[in-house]
Amino acid sequence: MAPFSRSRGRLPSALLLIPLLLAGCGSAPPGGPSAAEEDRSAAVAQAFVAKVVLPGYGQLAQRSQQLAERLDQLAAHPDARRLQAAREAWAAARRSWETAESWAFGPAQTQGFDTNLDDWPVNEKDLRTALARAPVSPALFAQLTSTARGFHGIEAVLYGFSAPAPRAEQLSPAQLRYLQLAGHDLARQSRGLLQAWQGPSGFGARFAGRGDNPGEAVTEILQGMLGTLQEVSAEKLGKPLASRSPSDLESFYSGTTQADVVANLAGIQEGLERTGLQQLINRRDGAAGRALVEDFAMALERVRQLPKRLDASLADAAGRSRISAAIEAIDRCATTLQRISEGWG
Amino acid sequence: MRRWLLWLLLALLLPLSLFLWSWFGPDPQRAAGAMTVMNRSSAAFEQPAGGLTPAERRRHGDADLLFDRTHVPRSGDGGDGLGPQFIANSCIACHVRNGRGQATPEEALVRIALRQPDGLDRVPGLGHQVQDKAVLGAEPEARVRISWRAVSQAASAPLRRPDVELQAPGQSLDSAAVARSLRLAPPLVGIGLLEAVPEATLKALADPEDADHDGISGRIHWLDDPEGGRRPGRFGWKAITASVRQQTVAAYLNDMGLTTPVSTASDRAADGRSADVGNRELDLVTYYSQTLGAPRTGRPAASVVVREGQRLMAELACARCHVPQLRTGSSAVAAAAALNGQSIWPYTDLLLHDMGPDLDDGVAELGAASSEWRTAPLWGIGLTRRINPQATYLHDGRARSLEEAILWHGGEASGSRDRYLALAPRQRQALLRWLGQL
Repeated sequence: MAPFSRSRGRLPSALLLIPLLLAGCGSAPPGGPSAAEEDRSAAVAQAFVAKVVLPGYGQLAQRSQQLAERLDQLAAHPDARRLQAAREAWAAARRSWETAESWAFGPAQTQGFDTNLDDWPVNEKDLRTALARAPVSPALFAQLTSTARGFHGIEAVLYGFSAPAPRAEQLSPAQLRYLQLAGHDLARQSRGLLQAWQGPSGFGARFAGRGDNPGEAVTEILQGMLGTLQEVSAEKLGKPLASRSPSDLESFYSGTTQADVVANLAGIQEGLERTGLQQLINRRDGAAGRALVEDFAMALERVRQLPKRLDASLADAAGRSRISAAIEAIDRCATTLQRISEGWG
Repeated sequence: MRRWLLWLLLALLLPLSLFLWSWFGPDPQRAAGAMTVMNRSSAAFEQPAGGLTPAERRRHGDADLLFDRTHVPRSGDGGDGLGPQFIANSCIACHVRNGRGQATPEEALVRIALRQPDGLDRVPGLGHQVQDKAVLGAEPEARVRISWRAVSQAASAPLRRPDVELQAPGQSLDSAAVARSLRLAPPLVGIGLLEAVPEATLKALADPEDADHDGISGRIHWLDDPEGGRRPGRFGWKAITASVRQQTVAAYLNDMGLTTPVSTASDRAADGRSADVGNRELDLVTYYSQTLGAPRTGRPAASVVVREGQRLMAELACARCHVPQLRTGSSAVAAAAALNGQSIWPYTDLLLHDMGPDLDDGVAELGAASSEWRTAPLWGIGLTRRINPQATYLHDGRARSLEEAILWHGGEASGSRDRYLALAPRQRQALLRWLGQL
């Protein structure tokens, strides 16, 4: 009897331990990552900075400088060849910037670089007022808000506020001087952004060096990609599709919105493929990894298939249908990425 | 045998009820209840709240586009009517990533008043707030320069406070004559939930005469509403607006120079002209703010960090004003169903407290004296630097760390500050660690 009594006495006590164990389940953190997984996350964060962000911003700085030089040359000798060279340099720098959209978190957004480089829409009133004054002095340029400078300010003057795009000889001295000042301002901002990420005390080192929780850096990367997909879907394509107004297309002066969104998705692709992030996702959840590969490929294909000039597409049903299809694919990809990101916490 | 069965029954029911409670009962880690955002990345404050229906999430997404919109001056058929003078051309210019702005003229604003005992008199030609930017062809009301002065504080490293220089064309704005208060944009965290806290709760928390003699006398900042009633102020550093909509209207007009409709029945502004921002946009931007949640905390309630931090908050009496838990009311017209009946952990009482002479910058607002400040909610404060590495704390950004923010507490909070200073370094670190995971 005695042993039975003892065990009977212990059973209820043991059963009462269950609530404590179960109650803990509700608020306890999800199963923490293993040391190996933390190492893999840290490697992704380091590769992201070293292989994607720094080369990407390096290219932006170099192309922005090239644009500034082309604008100087245009101002000195305004002719068709130099105007074309300046437009090509603008498009190349723009491509670098849009590719970097997914890593705009950090200094781009918190130190004003994004605003100074890419504010939108253009403050046409102030820009027209400034261009009507001759000469456009550095002091006058400094008074312009960010919406009358940056990529889109340069774009509006290089391509004209409305069609047809101006010929070189139609550009006024004030416009040529503005382009010079805006080009050098853009190059300075691009260099500043690169420098903010560079070096042992730069944002890149802090970002990649989150030794205590490298998974957080992966979450940041995923959130950056997700934000880009959402912006492309809702703002760059969805808004003009709803309004059918070409002026709601970002980069509508040059008609290069499609190139912008292709570059946006190319940046995501770089982040997934050049850092080991896709493999990390696959290792953690193979099904989610495969879904992301498929959904992303579909989204990229559909934006690549969009007509180069989206303004024309807004006017016809077939064009709008292709934009809708692209949005649908991007949204699907965003949903998959959201699910993956939530899994990271 | 029957006793054994009773034990078994108990053993089955108790875990089940505790398990259900732990999942569905109030959990401080889910700081905004159902509206908690589970993401703690630098994008945390930009996420739609948890618990929204698909339709509510879609509406939030539509509103997000308008909230992020950059405004430009009117030009022909285009533009929005920005200016002619303004402080910012978009909401996110100051609410950087929906978090705290920096203490710079680009992201902060300056409130002013004639330097009189009540700190309420408007400055001729400028009013109560400096519009320090302008569209081309117009002049800003004044240019703002901010410099920092080191000040010594007992038992701590030197602190700093801002000196705000104002240069207005043809006007002397000597600091001896004009008081100035630098103001950061506060983070947009759970403000729909704070709006949904019942007035009765605030009345119950208030102790304007310090009847309990604990040295803390929080009071509601009562505001007159257009219908002739009185409502508690909840938003702004001095609780000067009662609703998210009023706060949005004030931001459009005072910060961006954009007019809004005087009534929901038409899109006419007070001057009789078509408002720069119509009712649809105003409704949506208000909705966007109301349907932002608050992030989950970094550590679970049962963790040592949280238990130790909450114990210290109580011991130091910080929790008398930074009230940990509140409950939202229930309204049939709530912007989102998830706003109703939530247990939330904002760490505020939404009341005004006298914070002493060191935080008194001479500018009063409505019924809030220059030394009075609304208890700042603490939820999400641990993400401040992740969202914006340059961000600082308190209304003017003078505190470069959470510890400096604590050391600036005076007046009714001086007892808490002194008790903090008396803590052993290990305990101070424990409190700061807890704040860091909010």
